[in-house]
Amino acid sequence: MLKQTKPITDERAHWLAAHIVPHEAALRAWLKGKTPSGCDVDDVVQETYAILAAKRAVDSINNPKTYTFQVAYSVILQHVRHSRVVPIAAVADIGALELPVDDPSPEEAAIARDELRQVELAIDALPRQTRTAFILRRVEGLSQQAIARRMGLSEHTIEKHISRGIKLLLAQFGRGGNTAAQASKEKERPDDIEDPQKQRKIPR
Amino acid sequence: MTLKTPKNSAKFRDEVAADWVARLDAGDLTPAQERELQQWLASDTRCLGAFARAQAIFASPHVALPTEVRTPVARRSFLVAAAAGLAGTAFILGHRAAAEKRIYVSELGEIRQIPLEDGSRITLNTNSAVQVEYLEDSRVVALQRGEAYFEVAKDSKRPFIVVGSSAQARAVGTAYSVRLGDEAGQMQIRVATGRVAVEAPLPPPAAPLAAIRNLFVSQPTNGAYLNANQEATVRIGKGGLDDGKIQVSIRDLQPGMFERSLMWRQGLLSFEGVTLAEAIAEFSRYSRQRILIRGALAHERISGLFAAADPLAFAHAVALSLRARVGSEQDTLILYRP
Repeated sequence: MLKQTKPITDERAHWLAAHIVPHEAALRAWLKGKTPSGCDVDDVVQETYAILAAKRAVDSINNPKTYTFQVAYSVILQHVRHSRVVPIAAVADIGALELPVDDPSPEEAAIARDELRQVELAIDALPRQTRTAFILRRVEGLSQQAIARRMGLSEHTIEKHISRGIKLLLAQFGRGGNTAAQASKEKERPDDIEDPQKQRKIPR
Repeated sequence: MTLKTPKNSAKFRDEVAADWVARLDAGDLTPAQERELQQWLASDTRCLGAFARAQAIFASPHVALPTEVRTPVARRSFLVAAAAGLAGTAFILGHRAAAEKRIYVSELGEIRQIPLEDGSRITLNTNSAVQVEYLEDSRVVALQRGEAYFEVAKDSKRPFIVVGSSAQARAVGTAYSVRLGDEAGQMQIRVATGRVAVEAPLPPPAAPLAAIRNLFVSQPTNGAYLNANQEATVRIGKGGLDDGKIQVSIRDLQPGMFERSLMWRQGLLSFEGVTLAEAIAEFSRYSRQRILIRGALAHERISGLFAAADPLAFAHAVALSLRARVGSEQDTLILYRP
């Protein structure tokens, strides 16, 4: 095992979590319909995160929300400049991009609250074991190892459950909407992550 | 990895990123895995973005995770099973010392400190009421109205249980606050130090079982555990499958936020970046003096430290900083922009 350097420090991940993630819904709403054709909102968001993650320092950013919108705007501009043939509509759309005001409007706040509720519902609707593993990790702060011991499953299986939980959250934050319905469909599926050790599950 | 999503799509990158974040969360990577991760990250700037976003969302304090509190009925049957397996527990059930119940009440605008015989201390916020009952096996405080802050003297044999409208908060030695919300069953629990279990309240006949419960049922699935600087919001689900279920959402508090919110114990209200409407709602808990806002002022954000008992001074300070005026109509102060 190598002593490794993480691609993104915990500190930066927490900064992104505290300052950017809460505005993602607003950012996506703002980008939606305004991004030129051939330029996907998901791609713009990923590039925006990449730029924020690769920045050497973030302490000088006073207003992370406005800054994020500006970064996303610059990403779109890059796309327009790089595409050989710029569709006329795209240029017109760019003209329509206005930087938003600092404070979220009440509607935006409502959207954010709604988003949070959707996330809660989505987690709630996870298959039972995935949900238990994810909550033990995030709420209880247990290590994956400890969760494996407690649930009587292999560590590999717990990792799969955690990964599935993250995927769901990513999709939820990205989609902002009908995940609850989709997730409840998923709930009907049995816990389909197979445990290679086939240990007996500890009854709760 | 067996993924059916088309490669080179944002969704595919999200899925790969989630796998990596879970992998890193599990422990150190092997050198081969580390090479694989570095190659993937270098392949497209959007991969780095997807990875950063996955890490951030996984770490996000804003994602409240609801934990459904097990219903008392289910818990009770488990307890009975647990007790049956232990010889001689029956006498504990029968031995419930008759303790007197004492009720403490604070008036509107009054902050009250109540020292208890075991060294614990309750601070009652405005317009609040608690009923204290010290039993042999537990210290039970029913929060009947309002909000209180509890500094609990450590006693591992007698857990300190605050029973609210929909859930209870149990600790052996710690400091935490409990506030009842306006909606029925809504509660907010914040922890300053130590660890607090948020659980479904036991129905009265089961209450003496508290001691046994602590022996056998210290698993998180019975409720949710709160650590220092965390907040739990309890509500009763409405409609659909959630109807009537007690739900607990936990989130981390921003550094310093809890200390600021506890300024009420000194009769002060501390606001940081809250809307004027929220600040006024908070003031209304402490005084009969009403403040009304005219126009768009309600969404303005304010910060500062104010005397809870002096809404007039608050109104004048706000008017000064927001370039507004204070008027009055009968008993009501009016804030408006000329």
